[in-house]
Amino acid sequence: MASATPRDRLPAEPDLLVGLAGLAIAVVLFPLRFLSGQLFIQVLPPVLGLGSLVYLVGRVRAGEYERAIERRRVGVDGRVVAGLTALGIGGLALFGATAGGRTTTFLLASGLVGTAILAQILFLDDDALGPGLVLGQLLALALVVRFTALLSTPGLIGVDSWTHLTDYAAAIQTTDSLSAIADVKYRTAPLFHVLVVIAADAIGVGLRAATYVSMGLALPLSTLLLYAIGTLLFDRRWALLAAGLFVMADHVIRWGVHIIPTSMGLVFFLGALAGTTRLLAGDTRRATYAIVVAFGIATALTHQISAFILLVVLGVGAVVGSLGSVLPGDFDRAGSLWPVFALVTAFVAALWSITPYRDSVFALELLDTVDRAIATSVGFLNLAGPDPSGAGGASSAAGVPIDIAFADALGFFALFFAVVVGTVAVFRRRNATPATVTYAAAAVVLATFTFGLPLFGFTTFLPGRWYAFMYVPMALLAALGCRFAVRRLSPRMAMTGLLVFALVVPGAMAINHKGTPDSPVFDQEFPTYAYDETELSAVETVGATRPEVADPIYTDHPYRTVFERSGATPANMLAVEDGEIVHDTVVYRQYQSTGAPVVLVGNESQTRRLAPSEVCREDMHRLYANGNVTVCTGIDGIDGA
Amino acid sequence: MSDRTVQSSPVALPRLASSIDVAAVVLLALVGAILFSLSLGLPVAARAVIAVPLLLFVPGYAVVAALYPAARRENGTAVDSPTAIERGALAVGLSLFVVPLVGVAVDAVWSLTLVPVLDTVAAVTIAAGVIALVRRERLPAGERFEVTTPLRRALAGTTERPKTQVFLIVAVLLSVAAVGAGGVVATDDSGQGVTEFYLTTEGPDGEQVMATAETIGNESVHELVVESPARPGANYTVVARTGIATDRGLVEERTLGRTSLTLGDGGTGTATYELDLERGDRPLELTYLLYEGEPPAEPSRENAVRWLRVRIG
Repeated sequence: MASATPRDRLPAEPDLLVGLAGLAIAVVLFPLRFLSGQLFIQVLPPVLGLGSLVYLVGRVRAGEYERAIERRRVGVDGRVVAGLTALGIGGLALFGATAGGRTTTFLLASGLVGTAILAQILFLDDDALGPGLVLGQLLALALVVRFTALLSTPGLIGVDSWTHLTDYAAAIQTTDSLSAIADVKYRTAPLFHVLVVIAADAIGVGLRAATYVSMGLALPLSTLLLYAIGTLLFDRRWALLAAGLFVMADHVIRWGVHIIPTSMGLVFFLGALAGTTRLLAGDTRRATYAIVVAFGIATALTHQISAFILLVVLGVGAVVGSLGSVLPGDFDRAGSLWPVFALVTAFVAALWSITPYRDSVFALELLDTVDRAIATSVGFLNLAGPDPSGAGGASSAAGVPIDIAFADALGFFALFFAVVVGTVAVFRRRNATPATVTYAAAAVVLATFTFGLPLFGFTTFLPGRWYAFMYVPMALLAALGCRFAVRRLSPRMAMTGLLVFALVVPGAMAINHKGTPDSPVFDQEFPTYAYDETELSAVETVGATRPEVADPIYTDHPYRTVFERSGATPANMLAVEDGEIVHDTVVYRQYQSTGAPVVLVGNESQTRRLAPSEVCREDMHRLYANGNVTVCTGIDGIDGA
Repeated sequence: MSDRTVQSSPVALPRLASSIDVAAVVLLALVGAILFSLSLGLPVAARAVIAVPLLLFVPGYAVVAALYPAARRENGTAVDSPTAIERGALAVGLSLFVVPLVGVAVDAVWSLTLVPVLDTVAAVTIAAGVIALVRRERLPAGERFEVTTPLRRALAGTTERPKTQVFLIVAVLLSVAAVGAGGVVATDDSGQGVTEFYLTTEGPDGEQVMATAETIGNESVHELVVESPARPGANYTVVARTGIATDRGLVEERTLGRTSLTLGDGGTGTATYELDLERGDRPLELTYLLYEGEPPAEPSRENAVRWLRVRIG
């Protein structure tokens, strides 16, 4: 008799063990809510527990409702539904344009259209569900949502976009040479800037328009890569659902309107995972290895954080492959990820060792930063605060009322719930494949970087940047979770749950502040990272008329970033000390009285509204006015030549 | 003639169905490179129609075609080759890699200018296209990827239920029209624009700079600038008033003068005040009030479209 392999010694039903482990982890983490009021600490453990419980209940009653809902699907003509949705998308585009941007009504309406698409995916029967039609709707909605923001916003959206376009890309375009960015870390990661410059020269437009026409179009199109990944994992219905959840996700929208190298890194990340999924599915052609390596190199040549995240996922995949003998799923046919992981890692290491960063090279600075972070900031529940630059911060900003923070993050929580169900479902023997197990493990590891490390005050890896990448495995696992609901839960329960899911996720994701930097719904709590024409004119004029050697001006965050990053003039954040603002030259805009400006109070960044007279005091010179923005200088000022 | 008959034909040239996609992208790359090399002064829309596929799809598609010549699984693999949708998606991703990578390479040996970059992109596309065709030709006819197959599959059934088909087409056309109209509305910048009003003085190097505390004094030249690029030719009036700042507000207010100005072609106009203020009660507050056209009888901050203020201690 042949001896038992390690896989034979696995429990007969590993998914039940994983479900119970999920419950146990939820119970262990639950008391954290008494130590911290942070929203994600409050909500994620109960959602983890609930998701695990739903799975276990569905499994225990397995067979009783097997696929009952699939017999209840709707058999209407998919083309009629698609036509109606197309009309909705057209109406949405017109409404957004006439409303002057993504208003709250626009965002909610876009959520409704999203619901209509998800409902088609979930409830139309197989004959009526046309993948081409649904993908067309998803791409059209994605383009309308993103381009409504891009076209209705003068200037650029976000913070870093100003540096990448008005500084780096502009310098390359002016000099026709990459030597213009020789002293910054993008010297070895210039693909984004080069693409934008080539597009601008080819089409004959400015860098902003070129960015929108190139990367702005490519980002929604990259959703097709996620669909392709999905088709390698499960049938087309669930691949469509994964693609829909991904393209509607808040952080994915974010990088579609705040277009920077991270956006391009996300496209390459998806490409690398498309190849990786093929390898794991058994497509071990050299072409597939070449695809993964090419996208790995492309990521490294575009954005350091994206490359790091890709390395983490490839590393997870390689390790999972090595543990295949003790995991559910047939790993015998799967291609090994070790060669591509080693190759991409070697390339990244070599690249980072010659990448200029501060006064050293990127690789050494990274090690040094990690070392310092471990030494100085690590401590349990040493939670990371909001980062005014918008780069870090594990979750919602401090000081936001809990109900608003909850509404803001509701889409993520709903997705997370489906992900938990899907992750446990992966470990059922019949569902487990090398790719699904790898995605489950990748989701856990990415979530650890995004949520776990910030619990210890460790934000060196900029967790805010990880969400969009984490949404790739999350969207796939959530689709698996929905498939489980359809196949295992009672029709009434599954129908209700999926309907609520389809209703909540698109709208809630649409209104999240990370996906709406141009026009946050909760605009008294979250800053707007976009500016109107008066604000941009002021930046231009101040920049053109300030003496060459001048002290910094002071204004709110994020407005100060435009002055700085567009190269107009040095700018700092307004500081309130003892209730007063005492600076030499200040820039006031009405947003400081009506929006969510961030200023320094003491030494802490806070959202605080200010009266015009607090900033531009009566005893100051008022030297510039355009109906919105004023520039004032103290009488006893010291700046100037 | 059946497909089978054609597939087994000994003709050396690639069969049209298995090469039309590659031929199309190669042709696009060539046409694009030639058109941009000739500097024909094409309008932006035409340039965009040519450039966008060239930058976002063409080279990547040729590379994917070279990597995966088969339609389905090849010897030794357990998975089918990419579908048409996956090929399209990979083409976008790989194009985003190939085009700027070519740019980096061209920059290393030449300079980052458009024509050499697009010529090289076309060369890469042609090379990949040739490899794709050769690799496809080496496969048995039935195993080659043919873009017409998924197209035929996608179009199958479109003749069923013609009414719903017509409805879908009309709905999509209406939607496209609405999106286009939305784009036109969103990019329309025919509004009134911004009117800026600011004060400059002579800086240390003799140029006009935004005034600073040091450049404002008893004897200084104030140049008041009105900028409204959307309104060239518009008439404005600047009214200069002084008063003495006290705890009770301004007292002894009086009008120093008024200046009419007309914005030039660029939408800019200036008014200059040469101050030579007498010593007296201080601090003195000088207010510049801006009006469109003629000012009212009693000018004030409240009825001005813009106003500025300097204090002289």
